[in-house]
Amino acid sequence: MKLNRLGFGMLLLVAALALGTALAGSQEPAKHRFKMGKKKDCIACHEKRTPKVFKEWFACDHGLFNVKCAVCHGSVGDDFTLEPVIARCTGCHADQVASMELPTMKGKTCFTCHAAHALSPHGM
Amino acid sequence: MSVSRRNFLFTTAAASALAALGKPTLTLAEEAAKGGTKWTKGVCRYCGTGCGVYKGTRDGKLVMVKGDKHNHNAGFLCLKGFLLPQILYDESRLTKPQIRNKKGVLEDASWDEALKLIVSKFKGSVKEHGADSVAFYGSGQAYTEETFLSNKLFRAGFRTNNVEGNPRLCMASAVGGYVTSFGKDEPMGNYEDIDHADVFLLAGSNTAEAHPILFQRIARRKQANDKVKVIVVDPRRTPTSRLADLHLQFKPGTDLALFNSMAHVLIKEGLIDTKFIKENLNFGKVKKVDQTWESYVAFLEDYSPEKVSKITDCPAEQIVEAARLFGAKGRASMSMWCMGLNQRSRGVWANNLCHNLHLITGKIGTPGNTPFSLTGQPNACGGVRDGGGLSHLLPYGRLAGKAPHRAIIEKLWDLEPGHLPSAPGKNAIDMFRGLDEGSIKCIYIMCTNPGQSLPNVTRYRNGMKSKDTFVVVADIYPTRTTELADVVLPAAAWSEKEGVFGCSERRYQLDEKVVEAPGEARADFQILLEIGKRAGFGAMLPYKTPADAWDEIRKLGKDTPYAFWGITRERLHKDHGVIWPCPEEGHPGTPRRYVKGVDPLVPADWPRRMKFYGRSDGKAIVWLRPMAPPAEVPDKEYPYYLTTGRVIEQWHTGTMTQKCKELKTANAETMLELHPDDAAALQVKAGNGVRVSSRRGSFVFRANVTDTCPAGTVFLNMHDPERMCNLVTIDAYDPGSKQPEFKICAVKLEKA
Repeated sequence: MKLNRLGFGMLLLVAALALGTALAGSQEPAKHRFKMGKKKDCIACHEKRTPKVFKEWFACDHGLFNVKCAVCHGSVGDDFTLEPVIARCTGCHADQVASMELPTMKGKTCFTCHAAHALSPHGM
Repeated sequence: MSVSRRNFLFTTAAASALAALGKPTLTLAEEAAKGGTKWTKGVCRYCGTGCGVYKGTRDGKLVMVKGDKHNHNAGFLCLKGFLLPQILYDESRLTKPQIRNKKGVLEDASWDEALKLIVSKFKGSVKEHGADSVAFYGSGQAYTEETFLSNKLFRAGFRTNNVEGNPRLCMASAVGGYVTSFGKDEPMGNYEDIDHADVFLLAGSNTAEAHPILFQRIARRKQANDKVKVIVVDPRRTPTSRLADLHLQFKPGTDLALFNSMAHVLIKEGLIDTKFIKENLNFGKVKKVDQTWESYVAFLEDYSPEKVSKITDCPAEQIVEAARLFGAKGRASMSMWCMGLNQRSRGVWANNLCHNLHLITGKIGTPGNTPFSLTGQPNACGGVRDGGGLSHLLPYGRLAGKAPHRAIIEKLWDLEPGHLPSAPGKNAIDMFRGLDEGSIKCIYIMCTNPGQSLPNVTRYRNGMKSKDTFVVVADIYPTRTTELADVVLPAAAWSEKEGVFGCSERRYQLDEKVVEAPGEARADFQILLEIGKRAGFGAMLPYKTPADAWDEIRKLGKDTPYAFWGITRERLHKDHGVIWPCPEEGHPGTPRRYVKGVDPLVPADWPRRMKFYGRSDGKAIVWLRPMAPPAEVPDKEYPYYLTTGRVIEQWHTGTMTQKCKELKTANAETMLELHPDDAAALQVKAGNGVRVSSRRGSFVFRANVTDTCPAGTVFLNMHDPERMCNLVTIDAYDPGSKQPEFKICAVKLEKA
């Protein structure tokens, strides 16, 4: 799938807006957008609300092995993060997380190469 | 620009935004990442897979758990394992003993007050009502040393065989199956068999959610070889079914007919190993080994796929295909099963029939060919099954009802001949019935939650909260059982104490202590030891720590088919677990039991490739087990099947997983899985309340309208302490294993 120039421009705009809002001085961490009153499986909503994300996750090994949303994104409380902190990968990928300290990995995260949700090896 | 580049940009932007926002609340994982973390080897606290972990501690706190890449799990953990540190630190931890006062309220007490009361009540009851008026109910989550100590304290100290454990609720039928088919308990294969199998028969097991790391290993095997086939046998479509090349969905309780039908096809199509049958098998019916191959073949005539299709609602072609896949010559077949076969009023038979498939095809004892029962708790195998923590057992394969076996233990424990009680103890259900009916006056419950986990639980909750009974509960958090107790003891949790866990593949491994218990909480081993000393049994319990007891435990297993003399404490500290039999120090352990040249307990000059040495002639038994219905089937008044099970985010009664912030809102509410056709008939929409009623009880659950179950069958998970499926489940049990039929009962549904 290719992104046209307009799409790319929109993406940059969204990213810039996100960054701008952040730089505006809010100290609040990212929150899950909806309060989870009911004790549901994340998939119950996200299969419909973020179908692309769901499909990418479901089709990859994390989906097959039921490595569900909370493992990477935390709970829907204060520890929720949109972008997973890589320490959360340590449980299963300790060596790989440790390798992020190497000089060649400077400035990178796991998701620099492993596309979020699909998590295919090295962007393939 | 590709999708990955777009994702890259987006994530980079999001990461930048987050960086600017400041760090979110630090997680334990992030704490660990700050450095200075000390890593110590251990074992996961949850299921019977027994994944190796490393525990990361900083400043006296457990901050991180990661998978042990040198253990069988190759460094992987499921989502529960990764979050383990949180189970220690919820603010509701029990930190002081509590005694229920005259107003019926639990109030703080000193250890001295609590222990004095326990000892006086138990000793008083023995004196007034006899030794069998007291009981111990333990757990497949307790360490081997803890189960050993409770066994000795109650059998040799109080002199009762009322020593039981929750593995009766989950594994007793697997025990019965192994013992009756092969002569001894425990699977003969190991997890490495997964890497060699060409066909997997997953029967009555939602492996993907209940044993995720084993499911992952099966999936990787299939991913690596597109000729690998997976057959799932389950009335419900679960995440495990994603891997299925063939899913046999059948009417609950009819799989006995289904397995017999597969055997029928295997024989008709010549997919059997005649030489193996002739040399290694006997044939039995009911309890007698008095049948022949010919009578077995004649017995199976009743189980043609066409006929069985009508009984099971499973298409005949699927039964034939399953048999052909399983029996294909030159391919290795591994069966794995769990509660779907065990939690049944004919669970032992279901196990036997699964074993039969391996025996008649000879698909047993070589890499990838093995019948493998999966275990639900981390030490149900090592502690309770092997260690003899069930009422009819003594340690390492001996039986409480056999005088020669008691004599062996009396000698090993330096007791007078005849000291151990001969009267049979009560199984779990009868034990709690005894509490309800008055024959048991005092019970000590350790590391388990029967106030939620017993079937038909209301009846047994009444027994536990009765003023005529004295109930002691040792646990780490308040539970649906502590709320019924007369005395609550604060126990040290996993990682706050040390001990041995034995998992499904006979691997014994040491779980190390890495942090101190909070407040006044004490390790179960220390609590039992103190009760023993105060009750006057100190001389027979000469230990200070679990490590002190380990050599005695090794000695109990010496010269038995469970031999693990070679698994010393030092070795446990060093190694990533050892698989028994391991009869001598320096022995590497045994990947496959009963196999000549592999198992040290099979003589080198044994004339056949396998010796089932639990049987005097070394032969296994094929049992002729007919189709038998569940204890309760739907009728006009209760027209639906209810089946129960698990979800990956929660574990058992939720007492630990619901302390993890990521899990307490994830799939934590037990909802009723209801087929769209049934929902329409009831005029129920997703999220509506549905009253589920059986002959035993009733509760309102919210509906999850989904086609995972066929119409006419509904599903509840077992985890939610506020919405207990066991208010409606049935407490009928298997006549052999005494394991209750959690998996099947009849219910009616009403829109609430």
